Amino acid sequence: MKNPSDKDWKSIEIKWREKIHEEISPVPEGLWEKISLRLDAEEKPKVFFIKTWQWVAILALAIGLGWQWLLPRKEEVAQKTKSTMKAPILTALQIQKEHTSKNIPKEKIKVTYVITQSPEKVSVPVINKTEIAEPTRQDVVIQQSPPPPSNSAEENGEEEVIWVQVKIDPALPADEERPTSIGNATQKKRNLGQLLEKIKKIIKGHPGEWSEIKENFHLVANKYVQTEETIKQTIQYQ
Amino acid sequence: MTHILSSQTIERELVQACKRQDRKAQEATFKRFAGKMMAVCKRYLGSTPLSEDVLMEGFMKVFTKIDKFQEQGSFEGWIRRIMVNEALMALRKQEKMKFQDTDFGFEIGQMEDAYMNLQVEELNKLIESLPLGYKTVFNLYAIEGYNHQEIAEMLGIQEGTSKSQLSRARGLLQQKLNKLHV
Repeated sequence: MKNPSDKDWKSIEIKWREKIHEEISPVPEGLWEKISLRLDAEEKPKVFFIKTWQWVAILALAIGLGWQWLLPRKEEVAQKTKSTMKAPILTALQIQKEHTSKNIPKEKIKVTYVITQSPEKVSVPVINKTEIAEPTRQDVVIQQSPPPPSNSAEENGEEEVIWVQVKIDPALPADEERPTSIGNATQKKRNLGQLLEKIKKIIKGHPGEWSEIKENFHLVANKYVQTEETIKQTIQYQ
Repeated sequence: MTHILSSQTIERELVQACKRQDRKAQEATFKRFAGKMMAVCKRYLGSTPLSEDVLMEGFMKVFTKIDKFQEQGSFEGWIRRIMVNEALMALRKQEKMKFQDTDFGFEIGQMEDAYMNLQVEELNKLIESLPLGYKTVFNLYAIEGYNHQEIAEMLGIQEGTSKSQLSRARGLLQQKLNKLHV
């Protein structure tokens, strides 16, 4: 059983509580301004964090897109080089066949490839090949000339060696698809621009575009895998 | 009734806007409760610059932790609890609060109804005149409505200590009241 005085105190305290809870003390001037400034200061790191996160996402996206945009170009150069190589190979193969029909042993035919000029940034190394791969197209300048590295073979009474020098101009269009590829590159650049615009919108607070960006991420990832497989195939093929 | 409802609606809207970190809503919240909360801080810390600091820290917590407010109780009650906790933290930092557990009990007699009609200023003076330990426990128990278990947790003391501090605070207050009204 509770002390009666405790009961008294409780009822009095409830009355006091009601009164005291309604009490208002004067608030010092400028306190809200101080709080507001501190809130601004506290919000900044948060914004920075979001911005950092967004920049990381943008950077990752840019790398992904750059990968997507640059790799096909590399692939294109590789294909061009391959096709410029294959064309002289075809001619060399014909020469080799001719000589074979003339009963000249295969070992005696030497083929040298020389890059004649390179007005584009593409640099293709000089290739010395005796083994000839499958022939393809002939959209490259081929100059056949027999510049023997040494002209003393006959003089020395050694066996005849036939030299075939193939001059390659890598600046020439590799295939008919090239203009389309350039068009694709321009289109990709335009797409990249549009994508960056969308990212800007997201930063400004349009979350609706995010799902689209995510899809683009998947597309980039798929393209990356696809490109990687193509490269692997190309390497195996070569 | 209409007044209560509209007040609740305003509070709810304020809370929602504060959760969106709306600066105007935060300012409105500050203006609505700052006076009452200043009184809370002064009751624990006296009219010192520390009260102002605690009020500021308290409101900073209100605005930064607003997401944790479940909107089940009153917004004012939630803010008040934050202020009380901030004030207790400030007291703990000062290490001024001492709780003597010696119980040489005061005789608490019958309380007169006249004491119920005391003015707030008188009440504040009386509570302010109590030793810090008594004052804190009395404020927490009688004015804020915490129970002894909660007070013991908040102050890091035994429940018994809280009870004895309250009892001694009441005894002292009664003595003072009797002197005032004789």
